[in-house]
Amino acid sequence: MAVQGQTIYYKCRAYLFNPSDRSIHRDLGTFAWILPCVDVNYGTGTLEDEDGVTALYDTWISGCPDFHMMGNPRRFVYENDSDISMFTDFFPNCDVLPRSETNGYWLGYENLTNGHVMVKEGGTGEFTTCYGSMEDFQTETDQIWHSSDSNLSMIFFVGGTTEYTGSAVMPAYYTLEDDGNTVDKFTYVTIGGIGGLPTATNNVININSVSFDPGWTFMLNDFFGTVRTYDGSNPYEDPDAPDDGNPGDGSDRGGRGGGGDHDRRSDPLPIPGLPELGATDTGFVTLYNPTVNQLQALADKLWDSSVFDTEIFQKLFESPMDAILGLSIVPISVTGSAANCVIGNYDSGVSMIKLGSQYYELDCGSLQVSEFWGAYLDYAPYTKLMLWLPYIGFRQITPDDVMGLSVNIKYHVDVLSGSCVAYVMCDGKLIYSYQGQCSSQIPVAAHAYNNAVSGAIQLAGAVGSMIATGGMTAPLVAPGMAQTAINSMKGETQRSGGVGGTGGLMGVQKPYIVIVRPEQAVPINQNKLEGYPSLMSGPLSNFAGFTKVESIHLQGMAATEAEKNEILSLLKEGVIL
Amino acid sequence: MSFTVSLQTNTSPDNQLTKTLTDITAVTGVIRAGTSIIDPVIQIAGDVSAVTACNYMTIPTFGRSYFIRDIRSLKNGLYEITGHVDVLGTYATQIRGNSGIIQRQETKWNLYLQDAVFKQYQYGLITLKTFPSGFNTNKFVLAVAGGAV
Repeated sequence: MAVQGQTIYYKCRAYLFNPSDRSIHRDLGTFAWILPCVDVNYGTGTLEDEDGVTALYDTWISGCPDFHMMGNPRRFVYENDSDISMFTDFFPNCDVLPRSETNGYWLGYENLTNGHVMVKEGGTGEFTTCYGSMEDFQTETDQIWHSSDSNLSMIFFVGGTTEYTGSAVMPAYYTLEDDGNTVDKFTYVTIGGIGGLPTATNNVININSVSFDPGWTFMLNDFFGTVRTYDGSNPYEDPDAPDDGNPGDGSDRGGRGGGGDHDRRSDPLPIPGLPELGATDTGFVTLYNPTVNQLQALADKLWDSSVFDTEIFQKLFESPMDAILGLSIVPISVTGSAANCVIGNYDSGVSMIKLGSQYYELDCGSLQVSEFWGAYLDYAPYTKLMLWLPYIGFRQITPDDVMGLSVNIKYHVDVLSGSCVAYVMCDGKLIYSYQGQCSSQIPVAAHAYNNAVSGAIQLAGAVGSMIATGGMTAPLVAPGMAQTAINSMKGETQRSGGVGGTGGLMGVQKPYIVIVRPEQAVPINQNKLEGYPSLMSGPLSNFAGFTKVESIHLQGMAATEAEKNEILSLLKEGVIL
Repeated sequence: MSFTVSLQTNTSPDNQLTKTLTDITAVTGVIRAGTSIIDPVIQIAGDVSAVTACNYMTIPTFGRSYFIRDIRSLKNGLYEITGHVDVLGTYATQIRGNSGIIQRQETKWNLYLQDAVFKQYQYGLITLKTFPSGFNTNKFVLAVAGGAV
């Protein structure tokens, strides 16, 4: 029920119908704004009369000239005896009063309470007659009566009891138009117009249906009458409304969707910096970059136990070799400063470069990946790209990511663990990253040797066997099979296994891209006989030569239906303009 | 009802809008009762060499041009011609005035659209492109316990 101060929301379905036989001329669809109690654009506002009295209105319809209004028995208005009989036949349970007592209209409105029905005669006149409280109109037999004169307005005061007079003009809310054929049809329906003047404390709901030509009638049918509280959200949205099987919303807004932000920008994502903390910061681990001679000198020292204070050393280690955590070969330049190699607490006296950090970066530079044809063939699935990354192996990348763009590769290397990460940047965007192993372990003890060998075996088997190509068992290619389907039957070739560690040391040290492109078979004059994909639009006079039409609406020709169908068929098969 | 029939020879493809026509002769024709103006059957009197040289006709009274589907001899000098309307030739101007979306075209195209009629050879084209630099050195790294002296 409407409550004073509360906004309510209605929707209804509107029809144009022929009053002579009740046939529907046009279904105007569902309107959420005809009775927009919460629509801030149309349905709510403040009226002010000449006396300065203001009132809020929710929704209103005013002005009832010669028209017919039908709905369920509790919401109807009609005009004459014949209509009454037709209506009662249609709604057999309707209880109506004889015309002599009614002198015109019946109206019921089920969702109004505590209000009064006011009737105004004339388009701009004053409301003169109060027909009583809305509480009287809550049953099926409730009705009100008023004159059959034109330009009548009926106002329902909800929550109010005072008759209101004045001359304020309500703004037009919405105009519906017909299909332009105004002969014996209505030309427009204005929902809105001159109307009622509520009191300052009343919410108003009144019905305006219009000014239109006789012969066709505007019918508001079946007020849904759902009372809702406006919560500030889009008043046109009704989350409980059924979809009615029409996913398009049927409005003149062009349907649903299409509201994307079309944002083509990418956020900047640079390659991350090298880690700030490392093992060398702890003091537990020290890294050196010895030359060959320095290593040999160190080895001589370590095998000479006479230079050790073994009593102290053996408190920490069983063997001097236990203090050697690892010796490896890394493929990257390292930096540091000269210092004696100190193992544990033993200063070997062998000077070598002591590394300042365990993390280093290598920039492999940029490569421009250019289109070969400047066509769809340059992209997946027709063109395939395999990227060779040292110490990682082959990785497949999609041409859609890199075609026509500059590709840059950078490595971050941890010389302590030998772990490396390859970053693949494309046009400044980080699009791929892969991890590998780039140090080759040199065993300095028996257990270290075993670990190095087993590690190498695991790396080699990391990515397994060759995948059978299409040539292993020739697939059956059906006539007319799409080339993309044929391409997919060719299968992928694994071009390497895992290549890290010592294997990587023996592999190619520079990244490269393997580009596999199709060899196109193009017959002479294909463009004249079959054309090339176009998707352009415009008058056919803009085109010359072989033309195959995707879609067209033929008009402006005095051809028979059969001829038009033949023209359409020929255009879609291809014609020569 | 009799009318003028222009017998012609068409050497253009049937699916070409504007035909290259050679006029052979103009005769008077009578449409057989019960036939349509889309697929007319017309009786004419004419010279056999002229009539049999034609594969196209224009009937201004009908406002249409026709492909000649068949020519039958009824009796000496009298022939019956079966035609089918050339809708492209008849309505060429109106057709050109319509707008549409083009699927394939001889001279205006977009090669970035996928082509369903594309054919390729079974062998592919393989190329390699290298990056300008890579790993170009080898260094020993010795990791020891302690040593932070």
